[in-house]
Amino acid sequence: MTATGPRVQRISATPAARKAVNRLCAARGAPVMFVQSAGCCAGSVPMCFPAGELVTGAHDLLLGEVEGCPFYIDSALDTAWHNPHLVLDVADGEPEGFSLGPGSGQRFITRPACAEARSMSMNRSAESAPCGTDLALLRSRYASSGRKGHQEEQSSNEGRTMDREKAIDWIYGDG
Amino acid sequence: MEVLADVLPPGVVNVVTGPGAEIGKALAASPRIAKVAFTGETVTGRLIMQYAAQNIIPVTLELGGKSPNIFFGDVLAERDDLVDKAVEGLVLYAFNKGEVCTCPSRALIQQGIYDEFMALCLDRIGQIKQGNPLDTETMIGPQVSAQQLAKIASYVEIGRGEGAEVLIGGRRADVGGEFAGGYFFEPTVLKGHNKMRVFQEEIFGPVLAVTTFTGEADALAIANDTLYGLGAGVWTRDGSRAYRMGRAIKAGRVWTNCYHQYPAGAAFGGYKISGVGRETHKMMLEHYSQTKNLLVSYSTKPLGLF
Repeated sequence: MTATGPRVQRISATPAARKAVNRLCAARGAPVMFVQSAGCCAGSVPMCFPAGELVTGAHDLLLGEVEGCPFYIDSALDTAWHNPHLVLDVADGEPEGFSLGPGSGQRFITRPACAEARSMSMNRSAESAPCGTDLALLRSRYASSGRKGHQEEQSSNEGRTMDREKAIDWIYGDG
Repeated sequence: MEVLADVLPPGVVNVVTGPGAEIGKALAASPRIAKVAFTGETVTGRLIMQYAAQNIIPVTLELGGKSPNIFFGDVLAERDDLVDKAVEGLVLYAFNKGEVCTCPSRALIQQGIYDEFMALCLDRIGQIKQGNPLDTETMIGPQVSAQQLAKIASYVEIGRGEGAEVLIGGRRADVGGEFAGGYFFEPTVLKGHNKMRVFQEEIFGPVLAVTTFTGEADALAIANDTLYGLGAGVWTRDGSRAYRMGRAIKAGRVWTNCYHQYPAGAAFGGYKISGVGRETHKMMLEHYSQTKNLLVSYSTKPLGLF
């Protein structure tokens, strides 16, 4: 029912993710599978299902295994993302969609591996490449740099735009 | 639900809350369900189609987009209201903080007008007021969750790593006061090219990926170079071109000289992995109905064949 075997393992996992996968499999008494998602809303997160729950096909690429659990990505998505090496991790928050979570208010996430992110860099020096999407890291990075509020009065828009009610009518109405 | 209570008969609308892994499959795979509609990400969409196949029921899906908003050079041929409207049309990527499936999150601007048009747009983006979402002066509020905020920030980092240039924004915003620490993100514009991940994946935040094109064929090629096909915008003073583009763009809704308009009756839905089926049109009712043919004979005579 599946899919090409992995030539190169392009999925790795943080120690916390490996522990979470083991804990989840032990609690369920059965293995799980991961499928990288895309698109609306929660979009870019990995979905975790009981092994075999999603029927995979010829276009699902097996990136490798995490603690014996397969990790798939759609091959067209893999191409659009430049064949990334992904790192499975855990972060705070509830799992999305129909995904299983590792429990304790956590969910699985993926991020590009640092080395791969650097090699993806197309026209900029390597040192600017990102190293992940860890929430704590981002929080610390962005917490102090945010811009201040809008105390200063903006120039009047009068006459240039329609009023808000009219705009709402315009968006939802038939005009 | 309180508002709906007086409109709909009891039992018509039921809200079931809980973890998706527990209630999602139970609902989607239940043989008591006659039709499923889902809005969300692609893998859950696939799973729902799989469950529907097992029960042989129809399914409609809306799975997101990466909608191009295309600005031809002739937009700046006059100095009139259309210029103002087109500038606003680009800035509509920040509408509802970009948390809209049809978010015009890719702007394609014809080379000859790029500098001038982008300067106008960046000026307008700089005037966006963030803050209390219940204040009518506020233009955009906070993102829906900490997860979403982190995802948006990570995509900006991915864009930077791929060599995209941050023209404005790019950081978490602190609006101060009682909303200090809120999940605000600065309206952001990344300049790059269409092969970058930030041009290919739905970010679901106030992040615009902008690039240039040379002519109509180039614009069309870039517009359609995506896995998605939900919305698109075309801005031009040339009606024939607008029509050609509208016909050729592989998206379920192409707005011409406007964007983010959702009148009842206009079919809405996606091409490609943006989904299956159309909503907000009479044809939507057909997804939820059966066609029955009653073939009645008024004659009492047999056919005479046997």
